[in-house]
Amino acid sequence: MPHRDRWASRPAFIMAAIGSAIGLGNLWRFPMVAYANGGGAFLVPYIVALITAGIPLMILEYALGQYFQKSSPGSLGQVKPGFAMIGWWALGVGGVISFYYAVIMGWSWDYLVFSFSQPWQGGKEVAAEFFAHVLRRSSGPGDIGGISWPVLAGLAVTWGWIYWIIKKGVLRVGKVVMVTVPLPAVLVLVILIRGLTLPGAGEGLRYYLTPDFSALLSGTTWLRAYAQVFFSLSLGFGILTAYASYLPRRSDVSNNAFITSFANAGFSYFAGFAVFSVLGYLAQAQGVPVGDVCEGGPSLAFVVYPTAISLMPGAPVIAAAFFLTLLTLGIDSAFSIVEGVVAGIRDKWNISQNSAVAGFCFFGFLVGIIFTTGAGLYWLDIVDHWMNNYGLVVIGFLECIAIGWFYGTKKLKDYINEVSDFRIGWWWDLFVKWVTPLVLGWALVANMIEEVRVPYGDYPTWALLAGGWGVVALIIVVAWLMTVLPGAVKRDAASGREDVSMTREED
Amino acid sequence: MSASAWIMSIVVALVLYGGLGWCIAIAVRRTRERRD
Repeated sequence: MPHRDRWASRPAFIMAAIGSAIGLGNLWRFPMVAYANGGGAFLVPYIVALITAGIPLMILEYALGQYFQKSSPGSLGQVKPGFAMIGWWALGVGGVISFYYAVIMGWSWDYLVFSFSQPWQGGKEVAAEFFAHVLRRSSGPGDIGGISWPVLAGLAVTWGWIYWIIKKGVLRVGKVVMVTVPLPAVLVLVILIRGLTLPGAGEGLRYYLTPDFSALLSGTTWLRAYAQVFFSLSLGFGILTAYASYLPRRSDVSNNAFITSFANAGFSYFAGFAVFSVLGYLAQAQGVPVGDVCEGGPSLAFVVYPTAISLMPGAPVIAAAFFLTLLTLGIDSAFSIVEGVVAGIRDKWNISQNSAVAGFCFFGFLVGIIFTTGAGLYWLDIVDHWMNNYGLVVIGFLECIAIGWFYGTKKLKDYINEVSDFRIGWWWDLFVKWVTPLVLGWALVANMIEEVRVPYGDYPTWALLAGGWGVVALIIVVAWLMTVLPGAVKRDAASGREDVSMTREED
Repeated sequence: MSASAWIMSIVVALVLYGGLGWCIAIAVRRTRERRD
């Protein structure tokens, strides 16, 4: 087998995987999804989803990469050559997500600089105005407007950062994550302590945690729990398969998956306390119910939270801590996506890490420019909706089918049990073959029905076709091309054996 | 906060952080065993 990069240690791998899983969504998505779907009661379906779908699929992705010692397309291509296309699809979706994820990090850079140069003062108007000013938002997706230079500068810095971290492979990644993974946890703790000392924090936590058990009878709550687990664990991107392919074959699989999943869920739960304690304070300061200040997604991070911070004593310090949290949360996820894509490209064409990373980062920067324009936020919203609902979900579904029904769960389970800290049982076969694909299939159908019933957002149809279905179709075409294009022949220096995988010639 | 909110919060924390601690303890033990 040709030489492959290796993690310096098991903790380096685990930290990198945790860093990949814990991202911006843990801070701005999980607490709001929990609040809107039964509060404390949501944690029941969330933990059930974690155990019945998240962990089994993570074990599957780790096992694929570690056993075949290849990135996602290469590993799935070993199951059946045509299945390499599922892997390329995963990398395509990941690549597109990285294009706009880097832009969101660019916003964070601008806010961080703003925190130092001009303290937040003046409440909601200042935060909302700054968001509008930074984004230079136009009237709609058809009105491109001008480029926001601060966002473009932030985008360039982000891509430069990603390039610097992964250009030398996983050895440097292993060192970087020792800082970028614990740091946001410490910063969130600082924000939480500050939040808990503010008036109204208790009311905020009451909103977050009070269980509404009637929500458990709703299918939507369960669907949201499975979706949250699936999106949050970096599943379906090909990242975990690529990362695991840098571990020796005899490394643990199952325990690493449990550690990554519990750490990710634990961080989400903990972040919810920091978010809702501050929202409780904001609600009290504005004299409105907590429910009125609850907004998810980028609005929470870039409008609502800065508004709350602006009302606090010591605003600049807390603002800097918060935006540094966003950056350190985001960077691990961003470079892990790029590493997943780069691993696939390198496996295919056998080019150097530096060239592949430089090429992809430059390309990502160029594509990302569209999201720095006045219409950028509209396009970002549309593309993000389609990538999450029709990109990642389909990949997860197809991975389960490929392994569960074509390769055979028993074969992979035997390998996992041979190398892991503890054995996995019949439940893994059941979840991979039946439960996870059924739930993901259900999510897919429900999303499509909803799409037909109520078109997403207030966007014109042409924009949904171009930024939604158009991008999905483009990724499928590129994935097909990458599958059928011939790859480079790798030659093992030791054995002289050729390793030509992932190409159709090999069929 | 209500009693149900407290109970739910504590149970969830025990499952998530207890589960994480247990898995890390196994990983440390197994890694040491393999090294020895």
